[in-house]
Amino acid sequence: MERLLDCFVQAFGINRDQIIPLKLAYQSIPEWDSVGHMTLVAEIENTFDVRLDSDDIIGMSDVCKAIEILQKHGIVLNDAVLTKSN
Amino acid sequence: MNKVFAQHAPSSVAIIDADDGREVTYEQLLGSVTQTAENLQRGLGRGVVFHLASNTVASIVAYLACLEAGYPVCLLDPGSAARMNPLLAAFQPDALFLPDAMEIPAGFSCSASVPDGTYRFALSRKGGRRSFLHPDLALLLTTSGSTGSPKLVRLTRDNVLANARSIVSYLGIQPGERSIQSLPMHYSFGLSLINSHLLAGATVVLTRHSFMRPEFWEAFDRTKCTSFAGVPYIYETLHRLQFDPRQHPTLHTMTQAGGGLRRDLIQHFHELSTSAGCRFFVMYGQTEATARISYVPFEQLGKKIGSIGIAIPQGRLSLGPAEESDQQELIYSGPNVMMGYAQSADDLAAGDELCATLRTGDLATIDADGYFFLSGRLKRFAKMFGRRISLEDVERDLEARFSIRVAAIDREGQLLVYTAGQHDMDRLGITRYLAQTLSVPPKYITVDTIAEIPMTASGKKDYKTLSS
Repeated sequence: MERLLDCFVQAFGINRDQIIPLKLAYQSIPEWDSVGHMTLVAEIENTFDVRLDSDDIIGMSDVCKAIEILQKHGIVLNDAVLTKSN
Repeated sequence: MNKVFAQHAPSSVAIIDADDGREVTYEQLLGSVTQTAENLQRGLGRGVVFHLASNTVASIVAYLACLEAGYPVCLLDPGSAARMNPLLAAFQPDALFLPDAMEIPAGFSCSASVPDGTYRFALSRKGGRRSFLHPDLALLLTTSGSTGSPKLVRLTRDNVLANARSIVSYLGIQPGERSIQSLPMHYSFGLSLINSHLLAGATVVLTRHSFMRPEFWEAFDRTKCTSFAGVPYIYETLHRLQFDPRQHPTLHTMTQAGGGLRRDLIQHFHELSTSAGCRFFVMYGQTEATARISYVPFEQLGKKIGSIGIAIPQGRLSLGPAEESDQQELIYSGPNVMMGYAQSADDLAAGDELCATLRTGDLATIDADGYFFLSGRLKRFAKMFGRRISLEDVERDLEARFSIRVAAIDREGQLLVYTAGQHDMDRLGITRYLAQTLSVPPKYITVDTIAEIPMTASGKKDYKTLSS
């Protein structure tokens, strides 16, 4: 899970503590614009050695979606269970 | 522009807000612009207006009202309020148009809201402008992304009209054309879409969605848009998303400018658009020439991949000797060439310093058919996400702010910043500062500490050594 969050940190140049996984979404911060989005895609592809298709790229609009998409590609994040309580 | 609008069919649609479905006819646009211009004149004697422009009806009306009422207007990115401060200090605008949600900067007081409540008008508390403004000055655009250099391009109403006319002519824009506003209005290419389509009596379609969202293309199809414009990274992303023009039956014209698109992608979009019955225009320009300088006629594109094409109608391209280079510099002459730059409020009084001739700072060659090809850059610029970033400005800014020696270079789309001196340098801090001020993801910026900046025999920073 930290590896995924690190992709966000790297792509947007934000601090880890700025990431609230349930709140961070496309256009929720100025850094996550269309340029930032493609940077994030490249970061995730490199980190997890996957190739995202166009539906994945368009659909990856928040952290939960990113986890789902990685799961679809057979990558299970060990502590990826996000509940409404955190 | 009002005179022009009055010639269009009053009931034809000038602007569509695709998100709320609102349509503004030329008659309504003319009324709104006249009304806003009158309100402006009531509140402000004379002076410069800073307009934090967005792709909304209210923002376009405010811009046109400034042109109409003769107030020089500077279009700025509303997403970067902090970056506005050095510009406010340098140019001391007399009034601001800003989105309702934005805080009014110190020294200004709110005067009125526009009818739809999305924008506010604020006046400087200093009152009456003392410094002289050149009577021809109509539009100010930013040219560098760096905070360290508050530098604006000074344009006249004639510049704007002439460039829009040329664009209308070579793209053949007809009243039935519908152009989706895919680029920001404060960016010269984005503004040229608005200017040229309104000049032609065509329709500008607005959406807040990004080109990479399905909502954008739903809006495109729903409002039956005919043209799409993009900078290289937009076409790179569309390619990645397997964009297919055949899925958008009303799409008829695609244009690309804002830097060189990879040749394989020009080829790709050329083939794709041809098979879809679309026209794909590769173009070149600079804010210093209002926007557009040259274009490749779409039917020639297959034979001229990698070329910036030929001069736009009314313009002329030539090659001249370049300083400190054995190559030739691209020189453009035309009625859309700026009056000059402004770096302070006093510069706003200056007249035309260029006499319609612009040294582009780009090195170029010409082929037997008269098509131009860029071969390098004389001035040191990085081209990132469609914008030109002056490497010298980046260096000057960092050197002043962090008290260090800096050499900035551009390598394959990456901004490389070498710093010399202290080894405990906050490289991350510099990266983030640059990412924020330049609006570039930090992934595209590398800051490296070296013992010292290599120098040439003549005492200049040795960029060749750094680049190798």
